Parts: sequence; structure tokens; C-alpha cells
Amino acid sequence: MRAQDLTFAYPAGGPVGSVAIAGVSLTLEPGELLIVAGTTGSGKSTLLRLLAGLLVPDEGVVEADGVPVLDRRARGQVAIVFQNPESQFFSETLEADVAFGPRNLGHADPPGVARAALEAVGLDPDVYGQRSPFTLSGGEARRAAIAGALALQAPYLLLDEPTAGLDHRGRADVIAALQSERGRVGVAVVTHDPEEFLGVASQVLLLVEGRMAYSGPVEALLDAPEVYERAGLQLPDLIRTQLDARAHGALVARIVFEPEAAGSALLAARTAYGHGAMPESIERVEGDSRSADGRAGES
Amino acid sequence: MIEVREVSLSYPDARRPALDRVSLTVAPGELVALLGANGSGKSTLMRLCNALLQPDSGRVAVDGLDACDESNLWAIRSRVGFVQQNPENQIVGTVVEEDVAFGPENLGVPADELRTRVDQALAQTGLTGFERREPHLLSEGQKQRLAIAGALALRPAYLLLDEPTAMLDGRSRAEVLGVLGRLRQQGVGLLHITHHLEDVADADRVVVLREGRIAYQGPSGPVLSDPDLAGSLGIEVPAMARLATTLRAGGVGLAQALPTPEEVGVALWG
Repeated sequence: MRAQDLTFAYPAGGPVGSVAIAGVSLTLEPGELLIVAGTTGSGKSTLLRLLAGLLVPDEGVVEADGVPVLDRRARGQVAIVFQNPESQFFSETLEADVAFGPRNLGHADPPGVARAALEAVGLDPDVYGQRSPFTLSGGEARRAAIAGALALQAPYLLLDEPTAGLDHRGRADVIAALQSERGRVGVAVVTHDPEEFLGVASQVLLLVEGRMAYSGPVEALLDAPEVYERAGLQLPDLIRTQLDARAHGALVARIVFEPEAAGSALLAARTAYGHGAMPESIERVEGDSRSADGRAGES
Repeated sequence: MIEVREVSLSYPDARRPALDRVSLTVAPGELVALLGANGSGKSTLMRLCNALLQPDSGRVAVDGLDACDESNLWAIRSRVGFVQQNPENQIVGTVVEEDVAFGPENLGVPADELRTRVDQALAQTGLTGFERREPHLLSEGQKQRLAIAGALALRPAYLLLDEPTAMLDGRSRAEVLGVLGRLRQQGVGLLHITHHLEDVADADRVVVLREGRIAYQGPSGPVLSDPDLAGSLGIEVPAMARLATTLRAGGVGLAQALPTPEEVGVALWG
């Protein structure tokens, strides 16, 4: 999926500010997970709707596999999951609800596609298929709604705040479901709280008042925390702790998102640090130069 | 004091009771955190505390007023404020001061006192200067503080907070938590539902519900530093608490169960 120089303004005099999106470009490959982050009102949800072809940009174009998303031929290329999607269930059984999309798209075997989609989000179709969607827990309902989007078998999947309002099991379930789908589809996730996605994402796009404040890999963003904070977002404490260790000259080769792994790395760095000069013999993780340079500058 | 004693409540057609013999108290100036998975009964319990729901059995009283006695309803609701997850659902005025004045005005508070109450509520929530601002132009954090100001204008002794930070980004969340901390110091009793233990690590008590029953009641420390206990309660341990546990096991002297990055820095690098 490719978006080039998107600009979009809501009609003047409306409740929303004037320019919602200005000069935003991005690419999303199948297998990638892109975080679109920013504070409320930064234009995240507007961008998602532009990518889905639900809004028509004033300037610029969005293409899915070379076809403009506004073109009829792009129908079925992009699936979108809105905020609180479980409020949109309407069928008597979960299987019927998930099969609705593929049936509408003229798919040969809607129930089969629905079952596969439920399977993909970790809801056993034999257990859940005949249940009413209105009896599901928060995490189950959210995954079921994502299954509804997966059943469209679109190569690109867009999600607006997919973990909002869920407890941690529900959030973990949703993230696991997205990760298992990554091989097949390109996923873009809009969130005001990127913390839980940083560990699984490949790219980040930061929006500030509709403009791109950053676009690139996760790792490079963590090397420039000021960019993140200028976008009005707070770096997670676990990441700040590791950046702080680097600032102290400790060798923290790679920022990690798992607390126990971060703890082990910090303990190892402390042992080295406690023995005076940072030994050159500690192996550097490939691709990282910053920490080693920082250390060299001090010693 | 809010006193909930041995309450049970079942919704029609439910497989199990939403609440099963649950007891809880909130005193003025206390922060009581209420945690538990989706569907564990947190919101139901909260709605008993301001008589939005009535229990099938058991007792609820607010400052001695029986919540089952209908003649007490208004007295109870003016003592117990309620702030929900989504600030958008709670804003009724076209400008900030109108929104804050809505509650007390409806209760017939005279105009000069109304002004005092509105100014005070805005000051308590850090919104002084925003009186004539249209609510939709506020940030999410400001909107949630406006919702709190609206509750405060009724001069409640207690606030019920149903995931007040769930829809906020990190900075807005810190703003709202700062306001709540100051209210607690001023003697307002807080009952705070959240999925984020780090938001309520300094609570007087943490109450964890599981399938309608109290699974834990006590300080936050043990839940923060014992992964097995947290796991058995279905509580997500904050990343910094897990980091602290790993560092302590590796011999780092770290007293705080939930340290800040700065505190970890001091412990590690001096």
C-alpha cells in the first residue's frame, strides 16, 4: 500500500479543526506492522479513513497494489476495523456475523472463510461459531470483530485503537492475533498509546497536527526520544530506563521491550560498568553503533 | 464512609452472580483501587456505591445513609460523584463553565455560590482560565479533568472513577492522576477502577475482583513484587515492577516496588 502527499481538510465551520492531514506519505508492505501514533486530534483516525478509501483526499493518492483505493477494482483490498467494533455485531451466531463480509463479496464458501478467520484470531470455530456474538467477553468480542475484517481476505488490514478498553489478557490476545496474521497481510494500527505495539511493530508514523513528525523504523525512533516527546507522547518508562543507562555510558546494545530481558541486559551492563572501563571485548550487537560511540566518547 | 457489606447481585439470565457477598469500605481521603478482568464485577460494585444499582442482598450505606432507602438517593448522589471512562459522554455544556455549573444549578444552588463552586472546581482540576472555552476544543486530558470538575461542583465527599484514564495518552493520564492525588490530600475518598496497577500503586488498599468475588484485598506492594500472586489474580504487573524484581534478584539494592527510571538509574549507576 502506498500513500503519496495526502492532504485532507474537513469542511470549514464544522466541529473539527480545519486541516486534518497535510502532506502525509507512507508505504506498507504485506508482513509489516505500522504504528500510526499521535495525541487525540492529531489526525490518526482521519488518515486511517483516507487509507481505507472512506474519505477522499483533497490532494494525493492512496494505492493498494497499484490500484487507487477509490477505484472499484480495489474493492476488497483494504479492510478496516473501527473503534469499539463489537458494537457492530448484528447476526445471531458468530459464524454468520463473520461470514457476512465474504458472502457480500461473492466468495464461494463464506462459512469456510469465517471459520478460518475465527481460527486465526484464536477463537475455536467449533466452540465459538454457534455462539451469539453478544455473549462474548471484551477480548473475545474484539478478536471476533477482527476476524470479521480478516474474513474479507484483504491484503491490508487497518485498525483504529484495537486494544482500547480491554484488560491485559484481552490486549495480549489481540496483539497475538495481529502477529499471527502478519505473514499474510500488511497491518496498520492507530493508537494513542504505542507502548504495547512497539515490541511487535516494524515501522512508526508519528502525527502532530496532521503532519508527519516521524516516519521510519521503531529502532531509529528510540534513538531520537525527543521526536517522540515533541509529538506529545511519553516514552515508556522501561525504554527511558534503558536510554538512561546508555546516557551513563553503559553498553545497552539494543532496546528491548520485555522487562525481564531488559533487567538481564542492565545487570550485565552494570557488571561491566562496575569493573571500570567498558571492556572492548563485549560483543556489540550488529547494527548498533550509538552505544559504543557514546562509551568511547567518555573513556 | 462508603460501606458495602456482604452484597450480592445477579443480572437476569446470567450464569453466575455479578457480585457474590462482597464487602468494601472507602473512607474520606482514602484511595481504594478496584481491579479485575473485564466482567469481574468492578463496574457493578461501583454502581452500588451511588445507588445506581440496588443489591439483591447485603447493605450499602454512605455516611450512614442507607442506599436502599429511596428517600436517601439524592443525598447519596450529591455525596458521591461519578466519573466515567469516556469524557465525551459526560460533557453537556457549550462552554467549560456552563458544563461545570450544570449539576449544582440543577440542584438549585444560588447564583453567587454557583460562581464560587465553579471557580473552585476549575482551580482543583487545573482548568482556571478555560472558563469560556468550548469543550470540544479541549485535549482529551482536559476533557476528563472537566468531567471531574463537573463532579466536584456538587461538593462530593467521594468520587467513583470508572477507568478515568483508559482513553488518555501518557501525558493526559499523568495530568488526571495528579488532580486525583490532590483531591485525595484534600480529603476526598476515591474508589478508582483501572486495569493499570501503576496508576494506583500508592492506594490505601487494592481490591481485586474475580468472577464477582473478592480475590485480594490489601496493599499494592505484594502484587507488584510477587509475579505468582499477580498471575493468580489475573493482574498485569507493570513493566517497571517486573524490571525491579529482575534487578533485585540480580543483587541490585532497589527498595521501591515500582521505581521510576530515575530511581533505577540511581540504584544501577549511583
